[in-house]
Amino acid sequence: MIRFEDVTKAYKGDVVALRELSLEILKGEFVFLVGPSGSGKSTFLKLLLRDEVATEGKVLVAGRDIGRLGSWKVPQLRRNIGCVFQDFKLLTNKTVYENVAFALEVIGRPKHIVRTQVPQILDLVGLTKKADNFPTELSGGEQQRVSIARAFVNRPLILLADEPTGNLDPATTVGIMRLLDRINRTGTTVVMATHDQRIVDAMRRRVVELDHGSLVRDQVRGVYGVGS
Amino acid sequence: MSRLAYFVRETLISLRRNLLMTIAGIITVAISLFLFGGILLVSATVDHGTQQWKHGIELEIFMKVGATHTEVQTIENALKTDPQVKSYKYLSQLDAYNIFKKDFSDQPALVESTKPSDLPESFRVAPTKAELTQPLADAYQHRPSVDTVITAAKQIKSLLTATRWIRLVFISMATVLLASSLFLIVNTIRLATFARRREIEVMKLVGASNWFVRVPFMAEGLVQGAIGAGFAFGLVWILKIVITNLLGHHSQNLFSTFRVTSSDALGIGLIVLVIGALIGVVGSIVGLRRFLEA
Repeated sequence: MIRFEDVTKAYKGDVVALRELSLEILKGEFVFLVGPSGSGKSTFLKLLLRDEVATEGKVLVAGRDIGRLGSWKVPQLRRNIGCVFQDFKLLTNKTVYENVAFALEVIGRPKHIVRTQVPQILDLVGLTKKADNFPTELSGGEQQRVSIARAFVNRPLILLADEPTGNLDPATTVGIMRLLDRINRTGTTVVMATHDQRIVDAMRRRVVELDHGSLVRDQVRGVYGVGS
Repeated sequence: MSRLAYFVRETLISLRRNLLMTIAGIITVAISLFLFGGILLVSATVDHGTQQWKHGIELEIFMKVGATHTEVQTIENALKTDPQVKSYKYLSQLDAYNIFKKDFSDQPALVESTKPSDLPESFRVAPTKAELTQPLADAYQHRPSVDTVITAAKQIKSLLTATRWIRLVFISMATVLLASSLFLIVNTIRLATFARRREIEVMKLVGASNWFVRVPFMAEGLVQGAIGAGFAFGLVWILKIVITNLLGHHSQNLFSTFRVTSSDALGIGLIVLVIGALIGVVGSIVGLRRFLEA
């Protein structure tokens, strides 16, 4: 599903964010991306979204080299990749329902699809009762659920999560992880960058660790700390 | 259909949100295009009155209606060999009819009742020196079969020079104003994209196509340009009525051939509308560029 082939990403100046990274993630996998700040996790996700283009090497999504995608084809790529962030990126002037519907409307989905898909996904994330609330009226955990609903409503093949629990307390975090796990069980590939040692240790999924842009560990049923 | 509704809704919301900037943009577009259209209209008016006095032509010799071919030939031979004549142009009865049709396009009944054979043939003559105009006119006036010789009055010549300058000044002013209206629209669109940067971010994240993101903003620019141009169109039309009234009082004097027709005003109005729409669209494309790259 996702393949990095000798990928190097250098920003202006001599900052090297990723160094000759090779990695394959299969369809339906759940992968934790760990490492200290500045280790290249965000760059990894940006390359997948084609927010950035690799300096060297290839990034393949579903068999296609996305570095060579024309800029007009990038939206098509992003429709297949859902995205969740630490700061949720919800629109405060729209209700929960409208926030989720927005993701379908702006890619030109017809009304009847929007009307059936949105309630279904709100049910999945457990927010049916809050559909008409505004994001500011919700707790952090609920807001993150809305953002997950928005990322998943178009049924993407891949879900990327960048520190999705970074702003949440431990109890709420467990709920969000359960939700991501459920989404993963539908066959969606999930890649989650995180600092949260407890979740990684508890979930026992594949762990990819980056340090200064290099792959230092790739463990099938890993934990957060090295060598344990 | 729902997509169209979406674009209309988003455009209106955005226009309302930046109401003051929008109004400023519309007013500058209107003023600059009015200046532009106004000078075109005045030029058209002067053109009607001075058409025959361009390219150094100082006098026009009109033959009698019904002059024979030989008689016309005689005059032409005289002009050809005259050392005081730099150049001349022969206008047939058909040429005269075409000019007549254009000049009186506002009076179709008159055009209808006139045939080419009712009109005289003529020669437009450019002398080697402007001072030779009067002697030349006198010399040909007394030839047989020549009906009359008219010369460009001094006022007309100075008017031609003056309008050339006025035109230059007005067009440069209009250009400066058009440029500033372009910048205003660019700025309005930048503000609009800034106000909605989070929405744009989400749209790009979930894979909205570039055009889907752009269209509401481009429509916003287009609406500003078009409304401004609409006002300018109205002002040009009012100017046309004013000019017509002013000239109407002087129908018997020097300015009797100066006129402006409805088709002049309409053509200029259309040019103004097209430029206005173009400014709006170009302005929004430039305004959007920074935000929507990559």
